Amino acid sequence: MSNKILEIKGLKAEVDGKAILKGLDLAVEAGEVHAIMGPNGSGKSTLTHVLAGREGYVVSGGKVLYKGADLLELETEERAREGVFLAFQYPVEIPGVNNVYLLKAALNAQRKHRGEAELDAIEFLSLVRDKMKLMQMDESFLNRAVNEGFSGGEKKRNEILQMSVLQPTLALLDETDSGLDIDALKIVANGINSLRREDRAIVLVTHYQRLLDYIEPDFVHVLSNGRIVKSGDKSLANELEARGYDWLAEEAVSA
Amino acid sequence: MSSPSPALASFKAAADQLAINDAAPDWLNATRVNGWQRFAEMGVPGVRDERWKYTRLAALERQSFVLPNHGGALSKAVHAEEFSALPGLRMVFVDGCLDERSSRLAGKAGLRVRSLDNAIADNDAVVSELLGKIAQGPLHPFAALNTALLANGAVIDVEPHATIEEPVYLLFISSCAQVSLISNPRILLNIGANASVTVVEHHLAHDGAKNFVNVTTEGRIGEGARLEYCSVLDGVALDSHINGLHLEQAGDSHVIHNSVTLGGRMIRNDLHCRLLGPGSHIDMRGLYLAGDRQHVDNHTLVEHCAPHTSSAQDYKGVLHGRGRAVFNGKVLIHSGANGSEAHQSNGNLLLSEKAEIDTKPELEIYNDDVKCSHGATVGQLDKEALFYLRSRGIGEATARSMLTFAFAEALVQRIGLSDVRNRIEQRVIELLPESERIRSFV
Ligand SMILES: Nc1ncnc2c1ncn2[C@@H]1O[C@H](COP(=O)(O)OP(=O)(O)OP(=O)(O)O)[C@@H](O)[C@H]1O
Ligand SMILES: [Mg+2]
Repeated sequence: MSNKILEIKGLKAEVDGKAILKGLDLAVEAGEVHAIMGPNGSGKSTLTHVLAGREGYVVSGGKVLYKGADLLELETEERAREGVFLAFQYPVEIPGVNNVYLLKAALNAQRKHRGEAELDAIEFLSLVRDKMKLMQMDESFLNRAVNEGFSGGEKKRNEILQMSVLQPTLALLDETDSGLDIDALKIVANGINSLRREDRAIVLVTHYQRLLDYIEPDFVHVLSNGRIVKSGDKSLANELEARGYDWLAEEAVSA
Repeated sequence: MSSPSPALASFKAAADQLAINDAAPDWLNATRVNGWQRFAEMGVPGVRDERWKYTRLAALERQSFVLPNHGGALSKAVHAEEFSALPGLRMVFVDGCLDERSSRLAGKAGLRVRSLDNAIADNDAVVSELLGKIAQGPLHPFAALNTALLANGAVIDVEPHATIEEPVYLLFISSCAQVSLISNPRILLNIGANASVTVVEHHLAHDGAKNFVNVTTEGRIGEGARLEYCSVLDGVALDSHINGLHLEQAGDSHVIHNSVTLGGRMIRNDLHCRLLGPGSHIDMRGLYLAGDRQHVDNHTLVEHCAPHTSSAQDYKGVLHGRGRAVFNGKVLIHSGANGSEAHQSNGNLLLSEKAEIDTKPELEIYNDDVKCSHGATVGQLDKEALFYLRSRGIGEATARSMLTFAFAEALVQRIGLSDVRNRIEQRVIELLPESERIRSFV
């Protein structure tokens, strides 16, 4: 039996008539961590949004299988309940909705979907408190509106808090390391590492090799102009750090 | 000349009835007659009146109304709906008549709360100083009608320097379904210098009540005084409701007005505030909901008459179904009001294509040394926020109601009294479409 969590074949997607993803292939197996790097505007966030089911993206070709089934057929919330989690590059501020309500609603929606009993207030709070300790977040964040007035780093930490409460099967982390100070980077990396398990997979989008010192990837891919143009192991990240992306374009042209 | 509408004819009959039957002092009858004359000159405003352009009174005009029967037994007991937990003095009116059993009027140091007819019988000075002195002028025909049909109401008198911790609670219930009643409560507020008090004016209707409630409130807020005034129009059963709040503020006084309208067939709220003394300030927050067959109109007028006065208006509306709302907020800065500041914002959430809002913030400024801002928005739920919630596994309908509730909650959470705030939160959840599903999160 294949152990594939995610299988993307020839994925094409456009926004407002503009082609962004132009035939993208990627396969992710259980237990793996994949890093995706690539120039600004190359389509990395678009890929994560298409996988999470954001409206406004038209998939014009290819297919995406999640645990062997068509992912694109599911509504956004169904994907989430099935275990797909997107940590946003730019987490959204939602005035008036408390962090704790969001977490509780999200977790219980997922449990209900799996046929598990919803957690009561006490069970829920003790779970969340544990996870907040892991993320070294003050409990006062629970009663604040989702991301409202959070610093850039606090928003990213809050994304990982949500992830660790929801325990996804496939975590898509879009530049979760951007804007973090050194201590916060370690905390966030620690949170992500704690999710690593044989039956889960992580795809992380990053611009910096630095994150990969803390979270060791099994594969590194370069996404350029809507396609994966190169894949390798961790050493590819070092090479990119040293040489940038231009040589890849030349390689692609000469190939 | 066309013949008067049924409503107008019935108002006239009511005014005549009061003039004959009432054993009122002469000055009161003269006041009523004068009120009727002014109302008759202005008439029921029509669509050609700019201030009533979007709120048609044609349906009201086709009805005819009778005065509540003062001698009769009060039809229904009042229990469940009130803010029963609120401490402090309270007056309960059922169909415009004081329900003494449900009221609690024992005195408190520094505070007198009494019925208007008692105050009139005693020649209370507050009555002669306030009645008809603040709610007047050509903008307010229904204040004139209220005077013409003056029957009862509340007089709240706070002594200078008194700090009243417990709120004064005025509850008005419409219950009569047999005939269409017009009730004309009059509320007089006299807040002494440096005094502080919270007042809750709460209107409810039982299902099927056909009342036209025409409330007029006049308040004089003394130097350095603080008033938090909550007007709660609670619910969809309200039929025709016209609510005028008229305030005059002395120097350094501070008023917070929380206006909450949770629905109703034809609701009109007028707030007219005159900042007369330097440094006076009013903070106005309004929340309105309207769904099918509901119409809510908020008109505000703040006059800055003295230097360094300030006003802030934040009104938010949630409209669903075929709900209609009107917001017209006007700030008038007179020439002497140097260094004044006025901010106004009106946000509207339209949850359906058939819902409608007419919003018009207005500024009229006769002084260069002022800071003003105003803005109005009309929109749908934030798509980014919806996607974010759904990406966490929250179903679309639940996500929508969470965001809708959050929009309303931004205002509700600023209400100082927790009893009132909690009740309104619960009512908002009951009334918003599909909001049952978020009850467990709130
Ligand atoms: N609504 C839209 N209309 C037109 N172009 C769009 C729209 N949304 C995104 N794009 C374009 O799609 C391209 C890919 O954007 P995307 O956000 O996926 O890039 P990215 O690889 O995540 O970049 P970064 O590293 O800067 O985060 C960009 O050129 C962007 O301008
Ligand atoms: Mg991006």
